[in-house]
Amino acid sequence: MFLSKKKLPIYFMHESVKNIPKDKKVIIILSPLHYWTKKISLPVKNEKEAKKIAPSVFDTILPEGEYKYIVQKCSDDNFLITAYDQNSIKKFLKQNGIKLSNISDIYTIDQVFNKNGSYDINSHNDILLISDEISSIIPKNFIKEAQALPVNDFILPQKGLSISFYQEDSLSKKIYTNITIALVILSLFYSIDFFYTLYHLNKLTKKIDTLNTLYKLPPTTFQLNSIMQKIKKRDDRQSRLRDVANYLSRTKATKDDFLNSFTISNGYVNILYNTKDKNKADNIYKDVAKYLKDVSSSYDGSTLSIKAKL
Amino acid sequence: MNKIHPIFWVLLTTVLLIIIIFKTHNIQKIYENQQLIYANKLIKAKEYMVLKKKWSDKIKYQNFVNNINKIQGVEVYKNNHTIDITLITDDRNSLNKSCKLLLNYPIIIKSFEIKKDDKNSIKLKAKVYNP
Repeated sequence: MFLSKKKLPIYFMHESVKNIPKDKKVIIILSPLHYWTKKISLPVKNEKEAKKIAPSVFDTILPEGEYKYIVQKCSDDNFLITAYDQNSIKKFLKQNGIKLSNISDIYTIDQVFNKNGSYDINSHNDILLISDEISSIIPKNFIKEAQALPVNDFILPQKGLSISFYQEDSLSKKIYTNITIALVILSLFYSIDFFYTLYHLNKLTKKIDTLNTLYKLPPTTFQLNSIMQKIKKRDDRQSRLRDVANYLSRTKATKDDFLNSFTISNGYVNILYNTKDKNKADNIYKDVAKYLKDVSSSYDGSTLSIKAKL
Repeated sequence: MNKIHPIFWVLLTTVLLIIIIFKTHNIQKIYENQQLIYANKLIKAKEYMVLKKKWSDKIKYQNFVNNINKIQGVEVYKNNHTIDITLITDDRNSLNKSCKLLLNYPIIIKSFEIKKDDKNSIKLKAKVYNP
């Protein structure tokens, strides 16, 4: 066991691995026993294009399985293509009692180390041989001397093998992907709608502020309503004051039949009208009551007294 | 390693979509509400200006003061925010003119009193708001 730069223990997996901790994250390096590698010259420019034709490179060589491919560019038109069956790797890990959730990353030895030489991999029968930057497993009998695998020299790339933790079904994965894309598009539409409304809301708020400044209005509708009510009340009172005064000025006066006093103070109206005619007194009371509130009156046979609120 | 099942992304985007829809709906409601407030304020602001101007027209107030000063016997006392108008007369013409001016001009009458003083004269007292 060796520690990686991520400070996680690295385990090289050939036929089996013992003493893997069950409660710690680990990094697994696979021996060539678990994958197929081919260095080939391809008439393509980059790794992306090479990956598209990778299955044809291994045509008829690979046993039955669902393979994934890794392509590494070695030189101008030389590519190192690796094929692996994630199901058989998962099966192997399971057989060795390794939980998938405990694995941080899985790499091939070709991804992390390519120094030519023969290396001891703690196997009874096999030895790891790296020649021309390609690793292979050969019987121990072929090579007498092998050096220890220098795990400290491993350079771990950012991306390891793509092995899913869950049962992968390409059809359901496609459906899930399509649903996710549809939801993301819908989210985008709603987000645009949100920001569009927000933009107009800000514009409207500025317009309201301008209106408040222009007309010197209070900031809240409640305050505005209160002021409006006050102004309307004042307007109404001033109009009624004029109505009562106009009405009283129209009443015909004689020597014994005249307006004695008409007073408006603090919103209260007092009228004293001298008349001996009861009917006239009644009519004046009725007419004045049309314009005023809380009207009360008294008549003593010669003077009509009216008290009311404007 | 593909540690995350694709259904996780479906659920995540669904939750995201629900949050965005909720937020969008909320902001649209706020926008509609603000539109109503704006329309309401605009109507009330115009009404407010009309009513305010109606009773606070300084030119008309000044005309009123000039005209009432011309009436014989009328005494005008200026205070801080009001003016007191007093007329004690037996001349019906002066009284009628004063009353007409008071009632026809758009001025705020704070108090008003018309009283038969003795057999011949009538007393008119009014307190008018100075805009």
